[in-house]
Amino acid sequence: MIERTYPLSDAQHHQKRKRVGRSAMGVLVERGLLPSINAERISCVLDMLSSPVSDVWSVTRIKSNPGAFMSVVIKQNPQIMSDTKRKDAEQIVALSVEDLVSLVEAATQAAGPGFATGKEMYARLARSGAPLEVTTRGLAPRSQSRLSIKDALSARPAAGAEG
Amino acid sequence: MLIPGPVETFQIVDRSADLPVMQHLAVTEDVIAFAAPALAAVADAYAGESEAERFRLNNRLDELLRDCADTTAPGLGEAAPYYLMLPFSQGAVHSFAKIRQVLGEDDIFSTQTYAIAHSEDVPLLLIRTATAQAHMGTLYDAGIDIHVSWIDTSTEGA
Repeated sequence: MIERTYPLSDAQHHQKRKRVGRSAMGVLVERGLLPSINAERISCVLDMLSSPVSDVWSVTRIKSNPGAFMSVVIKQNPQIMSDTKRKDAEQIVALSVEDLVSLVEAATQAAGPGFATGKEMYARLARSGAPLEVTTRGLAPRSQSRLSIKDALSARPAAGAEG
Repeated sequence: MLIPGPVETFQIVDRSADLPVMQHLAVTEDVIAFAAPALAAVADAYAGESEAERFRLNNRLDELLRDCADTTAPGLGEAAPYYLMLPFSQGAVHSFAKIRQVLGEDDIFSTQTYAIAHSEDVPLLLIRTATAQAHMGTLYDAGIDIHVSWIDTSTEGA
């Protein structure tokens, strides 16, 4: 079945932003994927996006002091920009290279499998009781002679072994 | 990341908390990556046991293998961690030939495991036995650099 999708309403956008807000950043920090400083900075702008009244930088405000705008983005947290003169203007988020890279790295790692560390392996596998007899006996070394090139090249099917 | 040798992998499959490798895992923050030949060494050892014993042992090994995946596994989000298994890659083919040239026709599974560690540039996790030290010393002298995280049995659990 083909599912038809419709553009989200403003209220739905707000709900979606709330879902991916602080809790999502918290999970990434908890899993050691995103430094807490970057998570906090990105959370600030997600909070602003989910708030009906937020501090948006207009084109005029940016033009009047672009240095101040960039300084806030780099030193404080990502900022929201919008062409406030246009009714249908989309909001844009400006974020520092460090915030962007840390977020992309965290997302990439979170999308991959979580492989067990030694501690996690011990927690899942360790059992009480003595080692098995086969383990106590030890692993017998299995040496194997090097394959002779002459033997390999002279190998032929045995007569009558067909089928 | 650390790659246990065949002997060390043997102890992990056993799972007894009394074993030095298991005690070492309890304090290891690194991801443990099983080399496919080291797991094959365990399967090979189990294959030599009596039929009844072999069934029990293979179940034990299968439990672990079920949760093994390579780095191409899909994202698991909050799911329980998978055990990373490293296959014998293209790079390992060349490393294997170099290592075998130096160590001779010694234990085939150890040589293959060392080759994976060398080609992936991941340290081995080895119990400091005379044999393991001799292997690593010989490889070092031949210019084959494999890092090792040693398990010193006498200090484990201290």
